[in-house]
Amino acid sequence: MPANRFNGWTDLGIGVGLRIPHYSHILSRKPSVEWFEIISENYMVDGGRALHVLDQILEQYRIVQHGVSLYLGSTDPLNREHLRRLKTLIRRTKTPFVSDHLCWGSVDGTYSHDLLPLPYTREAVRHLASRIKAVRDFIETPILVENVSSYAEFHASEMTEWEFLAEVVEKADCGVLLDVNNIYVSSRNHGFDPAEYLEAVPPERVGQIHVAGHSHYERYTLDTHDHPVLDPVWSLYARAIERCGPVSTLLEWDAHIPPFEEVHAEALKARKFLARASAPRRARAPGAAGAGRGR
Amino acid sequence: MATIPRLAEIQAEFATAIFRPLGAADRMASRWPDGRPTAQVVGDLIKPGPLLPSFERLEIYNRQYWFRLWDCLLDDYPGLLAVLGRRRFMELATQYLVRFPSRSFTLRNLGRSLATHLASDRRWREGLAPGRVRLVREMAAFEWAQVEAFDGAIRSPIELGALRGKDPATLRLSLQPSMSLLSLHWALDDFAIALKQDLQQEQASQASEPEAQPTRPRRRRLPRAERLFLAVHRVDNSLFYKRLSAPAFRTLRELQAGATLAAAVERGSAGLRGTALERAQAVQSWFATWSQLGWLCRHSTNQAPRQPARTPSRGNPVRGAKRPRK
Repeated sequence: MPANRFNGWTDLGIGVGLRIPHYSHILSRKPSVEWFEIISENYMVDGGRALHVLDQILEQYRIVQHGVSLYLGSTDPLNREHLRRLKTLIRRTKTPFVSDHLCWGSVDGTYSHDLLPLPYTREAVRHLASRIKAVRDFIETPILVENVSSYAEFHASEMTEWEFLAEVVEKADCGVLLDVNNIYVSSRNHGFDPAEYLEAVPPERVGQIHVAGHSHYERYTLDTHDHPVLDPVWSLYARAIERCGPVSTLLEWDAHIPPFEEVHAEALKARKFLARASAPRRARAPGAAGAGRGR
Repeated sequence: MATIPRLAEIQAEFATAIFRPLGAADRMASRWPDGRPTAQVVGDLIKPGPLLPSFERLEIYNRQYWFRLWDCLLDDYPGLLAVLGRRRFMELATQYLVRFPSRSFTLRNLGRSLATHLASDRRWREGLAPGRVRLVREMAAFEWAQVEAFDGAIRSPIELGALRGKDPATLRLSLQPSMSLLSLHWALDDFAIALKQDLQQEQASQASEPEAQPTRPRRRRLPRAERLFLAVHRVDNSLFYKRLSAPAFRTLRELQAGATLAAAVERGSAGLRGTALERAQAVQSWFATWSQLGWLCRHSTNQAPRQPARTPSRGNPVRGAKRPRK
């Protein structure tokens, strides 16, 4: 279901990641965009232009917060200052949910500023589930957790990544931000079948989908977010939409960022897949009880 | 049956690998801190992949860590790069990040301890003339002041009229927490503006000729030697540098350090020339300007007073966002 309890019962459509080079275009042209996703940490500041722009954009658009440094899998204690600032920002944006990554990134208070891979162990499942619950209790907002792309796997792992993801979200009773590009990148680096991963994701828990571009090198694939979405990722996306329904979808483009129109046009390629998934629902709608909840 | 290492142990070992500086050709260090071959330690932790051995898989993260943090410092300290040159800058950045790795969830704070590092580590000074050493320290302070001013807190400013009837002998005022006062020996404000224009021209020519071969970075002229007192501050979400007279600077420093209004003016304006009336008019004019710029706030005991000796450091109106690449 596109709107579910994990994403605050929202059905947002197709969004674009809000990036600084597009600020003036968005403020002056007011393009017709269904929603923007912000990187929470870029706005967890005391003042300045970023917050000023955010307030202007909030007057016109729906904003959803996506975090990059909660480090839900770190064994460090949760950073209370981070959580306080996150909650303050949530009050400002009224985001229906927040998302962050199924990863770790700090040790003994030192931050890597990277999304580091976890060993897929039962201990890690328990640890993550309890941290996700603690964060959710503090911020009083639903959380989606995103699968990351990775370049390394641990001998210590006791299960596959998709089994791990399913166990964590079940135990934490939270939703999934399904990044189909990350599944593809990891499948190339680890040699698994991305379709097998996708089939194991609990569809009822998927609250949002990310798509992005990546880069192939001779012996590995990097999640670079500096290209249009490649065809194999759109194919995975099509299958994800078949399984999960027309879930809110967002394009991430973080490096070599082209003009806004180009980024938005790339995101809107998701429309044809969403339309296919919506078509049967809409066909049933006139006679169906409770129908009429559309975008 | 082998026991499964605890999550914390795995993370500690992984972190040991990625936080270590890169070696020649940006490769991961071949020896672990205890002398064992890194490949052996990493081989016990990381599975080999279909195309990459364990060592090279972890090396991707080791490189990402350093490239990301170097990039951040390069973005935040273009002036320091210009006065040190790339090789010295990269050595300094690496030494700094080893001593003061990021302790914040945001890369915005990455340079917070650079002034401390410059004051307490001598390696970066080797072969530098004393004047250049001072230039490096002042540039680092100037560029950190810009970070602070860019997105630091702005409190409600106080109107001068609100001070009428208050006793200057007991009245204390605070300055905006995001502003910095710097005592400099070089015209770093002019240098920063010129540098920004140069960099914008370079970017524009690269954008118009994307296929052109990258040229060697231009050797830039050093800042002009000039004694000056500078406030780095933000107005309407833009950064500004304001030059101050020495007495005005001293007065602001005293206020920032927690002195009463009377004491700050007395100590600050000592040596101000002219008649008593002219001196009083000068002081009034300073306060009128500072009030217009919104620098003065009600005294806050929560706001840590800044010591007059503070020398540490965004003047460019556009600041890039910082986020890990995913």
